This record gives sequence, structure tokens and C-alpha cells, in this order.
Amino acid sequence: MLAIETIELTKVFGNFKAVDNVNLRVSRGVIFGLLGPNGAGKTTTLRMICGLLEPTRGEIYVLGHDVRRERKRVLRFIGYMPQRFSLYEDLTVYENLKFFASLYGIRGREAELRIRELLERFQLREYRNRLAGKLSGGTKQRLALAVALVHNPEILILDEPTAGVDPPLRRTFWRYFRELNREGVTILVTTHYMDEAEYCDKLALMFRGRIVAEGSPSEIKREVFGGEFVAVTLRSVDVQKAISLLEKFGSIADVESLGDVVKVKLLVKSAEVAVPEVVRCLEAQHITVLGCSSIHVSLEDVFVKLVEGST
Amino acid sequence: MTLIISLVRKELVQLMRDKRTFFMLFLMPLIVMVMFGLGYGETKTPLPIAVVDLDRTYLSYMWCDVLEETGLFKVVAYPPSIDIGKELMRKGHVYAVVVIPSGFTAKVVQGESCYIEVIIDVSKPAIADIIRRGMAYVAQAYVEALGSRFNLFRIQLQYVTMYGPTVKSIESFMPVIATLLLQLVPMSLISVSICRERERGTFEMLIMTPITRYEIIMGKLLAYFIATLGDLFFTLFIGISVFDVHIKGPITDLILICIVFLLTSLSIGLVISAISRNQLQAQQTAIFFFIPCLLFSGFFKPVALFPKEIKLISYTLPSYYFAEAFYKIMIKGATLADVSTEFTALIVYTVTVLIFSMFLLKMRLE
Ligand SMILES: Nc1ncnc2c1ncn2[C@@H]1O[C@H](COP(=O)(O)OP(=O)(O)OP(=O)(O)O)[C@@H](O)[C@H]1O
Ligand SMILES: [Mg+2]
Repeated sequence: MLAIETIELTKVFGNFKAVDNVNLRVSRGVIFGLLGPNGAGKTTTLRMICGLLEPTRGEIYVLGHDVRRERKRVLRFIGYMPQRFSLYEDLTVYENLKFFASLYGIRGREAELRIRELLERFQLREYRNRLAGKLSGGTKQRLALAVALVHNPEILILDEPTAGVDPPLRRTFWRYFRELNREGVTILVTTHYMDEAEYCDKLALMFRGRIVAEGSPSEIKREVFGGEFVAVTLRSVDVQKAISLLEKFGSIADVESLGDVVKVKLLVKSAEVAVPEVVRCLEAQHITVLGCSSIHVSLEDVFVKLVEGST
Repeated sequence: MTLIISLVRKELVQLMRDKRTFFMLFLMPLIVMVMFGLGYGETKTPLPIAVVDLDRTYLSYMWCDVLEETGLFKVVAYPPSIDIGKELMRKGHVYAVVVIPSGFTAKVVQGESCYIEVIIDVSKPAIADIIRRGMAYVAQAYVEALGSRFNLFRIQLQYVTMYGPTVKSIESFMPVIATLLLQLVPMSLISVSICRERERGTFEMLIMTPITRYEIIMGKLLAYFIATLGDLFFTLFIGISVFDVHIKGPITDLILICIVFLLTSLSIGLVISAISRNQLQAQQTAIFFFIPCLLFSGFFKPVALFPKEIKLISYTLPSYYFAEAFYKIMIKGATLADVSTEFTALIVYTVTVLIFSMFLLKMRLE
């Protein structure tokens, strides 16, 4: 059974399609990243999954339950952390946790234990009696995460949890997420930060309401560029010959020569297979290979390429 | 039920931490009472009176003109019947009621002597005296003005004395004050409660929990009821201890009607909150709703004197029923049984409005 599944999910505001025919399949136990620039429709998609917005068209299932028909049931499975801080600023950290716990029917000793555990886990103990509105940005986010987890949900839906958080804390956040994931929590997370996306098991890239690419980070890169890149640095007087040799392995993306040193960027099906073969072939022709390795493509590059293509 | 209690506790903590609420609840009663006490403490001049004109011809109109020309009287109402006129006096709106009998003009034209009845409130002897002298003067002035045109005629004044409310002025304002404090304050406080959650984004988290719309509405209602109940007792306490207000009827009945009205106001506020987009809009709607309540509930002019269409408006306002019941219990000494119509009207109103608010509350974001 899938943790979350959307079928042809569409949301229209007025005559503007914020989410357009989105099919997401989030398996249980994964960290699933939803990436996209501002206004791509990420928040709208998450809100529909949470039953906070009525979809214009399409179906949503959470652990097999139809969100539109069984919203109350589904809510117990989901821990949600909205993009904007949405807790009571005039209540303390403890009061916020206590209030939300009680709404899930957790009270008394059970609530106290749960709250203590969460305060401990997210280093919130010293802020226990501080008003939520008086916390720093990062601490607010930690509290929001703690509240989202108060009822031990199976699925965690996080809308840009690390927006406006400094890099060290961002790393801490991802450590939390991986820990939770290891404990069996399925995580659906949106983000702007491409480096964070690399941590996800699966990704969906969203642009103007549509999913433009989907898969694991390396699958996406391969899919978007039609292969992987290999950088070959060689010393040769006959550049032409070297290039014609390399063309057998894939297409030449870029050539740069500096004196007799030539750098070639080669697009191949699989870098793993191509690298040793390239080296063997060139050396057989007595061309000195100074270096040959696969190029790390960042998701940023992927994004730029995708966005270029669709404008 | 347990979710409702959780919500109530949370709301009360928030209310206690909000300075604006504190101001509204505990300073408003004082400010309003002092304002009314100072501003309306003295006897009004010219003296407000009512004229029941059963003749309705030009000579009777002229009588009214002469009345006002003296500068001593101001005709504030033309009640259609003597009973309504007396009612006005009992409520303290007028100090005297002048009754012009039908056939008045005809008698004047024929030079017969005619009677004009003056009902005087003798609960304030000094004012009653002024009215007697004033009326005699008016009668004389009237005869002089017309004497050259008609045969000799005489006007005889017949005095009927009656005990008005003997209210101190602050007492006559208690219904207005109570309405202000039991309607405007609770209604505008609660009217922002749900849209504030929407505006601050907390509604998004709230409706992600298993709470139902019924629990949200009842929780908010209960929390604000507890908070404003203090306001109610505080108002009565100040009225009785500082301004020496006297309550003729049983005080428990008065409190009961106040409590029901408080619930009505809160329910209306909840409807406003459920449909408003933001706090500003909610506040404005609450005040906008309060204006007709203030104008058409009979505070400044008895409802009996309104034209038919306006009366219909009055009958749809909860404050009309409250003001009636409040007045009857406090000043006339009625009991809850005497005001059962008003009491029932308020309860029906409250229940209907509450059900409405539950239907109108959207458990979605848009
Ligand atoms: N309630 C609404 N009414 C009208 N338009 C809306 C509404 N909510 C969102 N939109 C529009 O839908 C589009 C997608 O918004 P959404 O918030 O889902 O994007 P996002 O991917 O979350 O962006 P960001 O990264 O800035 O949070 C935006 O253009 C936004 O203006
Ligand atoms: Mg967003």
C-alpha cells in the first residue's frame, strides 16, 4: 500500500491552474521530496493532501483512505508542519504542545511523558515556559516539528521546514528527519534547497503546477540530461583524433583546449561503465590520459535545464 | 466534550494575556456608566412631553405650536393612544402627556368650552408644578391668539396625576448601558476569535486535528461566556454600589435574562466570525449590526411609536426583547414569568443563530 497517492490532482484558483494533473506515488518508509521554485504549487498540493483545500479535480489516498471521504480518519495518520509558523504565539511552548496533544485525545500522564520526550528530542527543554511568539526562527521551527509529531503520526508532511533556518540547524533538521525515517515515519517534504533534495530517496520536480521530473536524485539527473557526464582530460597533439575516438562512447558536450591539454565533457549512458573503457581505448592509441571521472551534476543544473526547456 | 474543555482552557489563557480584552471587559463598564452618569445627570430642558392628538385638525396642531413656542416644552412624541402616552411617561421618556379630545376644533369654532386633559408625572413635585403653570400659560396664550377670529371660547385644563418611574437618570439608562455592555462588547470580542485564527494561520493547525466544527463553536462560546460573565456581574455591581441603582424585580430573574442575552450576543458574534475574512471586517460587521440594535430597540423612542415597517425591524432584534424584559424587571418589578415571551424569543434566537454558525464555519482554508 502506498503512503500517499494522488491521481490527476488539479486545483484551479479562478482561472489559474495552481496544480495541474499531479500524480504522486509516495511509498511507505521513504523520504519523498517535492521540489520547485516559488509559486510552483507545492503548498497547494500538500494542503489538498491534508484535506485543507478541496481539490478541483482528482483523487487523493492516504494509506488507502480517500481524504475527501474519510478526512477525520486520515488526520490521525498525518503530522503536518505548515510553511508559515501556525502555532499560538501567545501560548508557551509547553501549552502549545499540551493543547494539541489534548485535541488528539492524549492527556494526563501520557501527555506529560510525550511532551517531555519531544522537548528532549528537539532541544526545547530550556524554552518550555517561553511564549511561542518570543522564540527565534529556528526554535519556532523545532517547536512546529514537535507539535506535528505529538500524536506519533505515521506520515509527516513538511512544507519548507528549513526555510529561513541557518545551515548548521538545517543539518540538524535533516538529522531529525533521517532518524524519524529510520523509525518508520514516511516523510513528504518540500524544499527550495537543492542540496537537501539529494538526501531524499525520491523526488518530484514541480514547475508551474506540473510534475516535470520524478525519480531518485540520480535517476532524475539521468533522465533530464539523457545520460551522465564524464570529464576526460588528456594530452595530445592531435585533438581531432582524440575527439573522434571519444565520440564512439557518447556525445561530446564541450571541448576546451589549453596548449596541448584538452578537456572534453562527454555525455554517456552510464559513467560507471564508460570511464574504464574510455581510459583503455585512449591509452591503446597512446594518448596520455590525465584524468577521467564522472562529473557530479547538481540538481540545480537539472532545474535550470528543465526550466530553460519549458520557457 | 473533552475537546471542548481543552479549547475553552486555551481560549481563556489567551484572553487573559490579551490587554485589549481586559480593557473591554473591566474598564468599559466603568467608562460607560460614568459617561451616562455625568452626561445625563440633570433634568432635561425644555421638558419632554407627549401629545395625544385625537382631533387631528388645524386648531389642535396650533395648540402644539403654542406649546413649543413657550420654550418650556418640547413635544417629543405623538402617541396614537392615551395608553401608549402613559407608557411613555412610565418609562420616563416624558414628564407629561397632553390629550386633545376629538371634536376639539369644532367646539372652538362654535365657541363652546372644551377640555384638555393633562396627565402629569407627580413623582417629581417641582417639575409637576412647572408643568401646571406652563400649561395654564399655554391655554391663555392660545385663547388670546384665536380670540379675535372666533367667538368667545374657553379652555379648561383637567389634570390627571400619575406616578412616573421615579427613576434616577442613571436608572433610566440602565437598559442602554446593559445592552451596550452585554451586546456590543461580547459580540465584538468573539467576532474576531475565529478569523484571528485564520489570519494568524493557527486555524490551519487547528483543523488538522480531529476537532469538529461543533466543538470549535461550543468551545469558543463557552470560553467567551465565562470571560464575559464576569463583565455582567461587574456591571451590575458597579450599578448598584456606585450609582445606587435600584432593582425592583427579583435580581436573580434579571441576571437570568442578562445571561441569556449574553449568549445571544456571543452566538451572533460567532456567526460574524465564521463568515468574515479578517478581523477588521469582523469588527466592522459587529458594529454595523449594533447600530440598528441601538436605534430600534426603544431606547431613544419607544417602539410603539415607530411606523409599521420599522417595528418589524425592531421585532427581529434580540436587543429589543432584552430591553423590554430588562426594563420590566428592573423598573416595573416584573418577574421572569411576566417576561416569558421575551425570554423565549431570546432563547429561540440564540439556538437558531448557533446552529447557523456551525453550518457557516468552513473547516477548510480558502
Ligand atoms: N487561495 C489562493 N487563491 C488564489 N491563488 C492562490 C491561492 N493559493 C495559492 N495561489 C497561487 O497558486 C500558486 C501556487 O502557490 P503555492 O503556494 O502552492 O506555491 P509554492 O510552490 O508553495 O510556492 P512557495 O515556494 O513560494 O511556497 C501561486 O501562484 C499562488 O499565487
Ligand atoms: Mg509554499
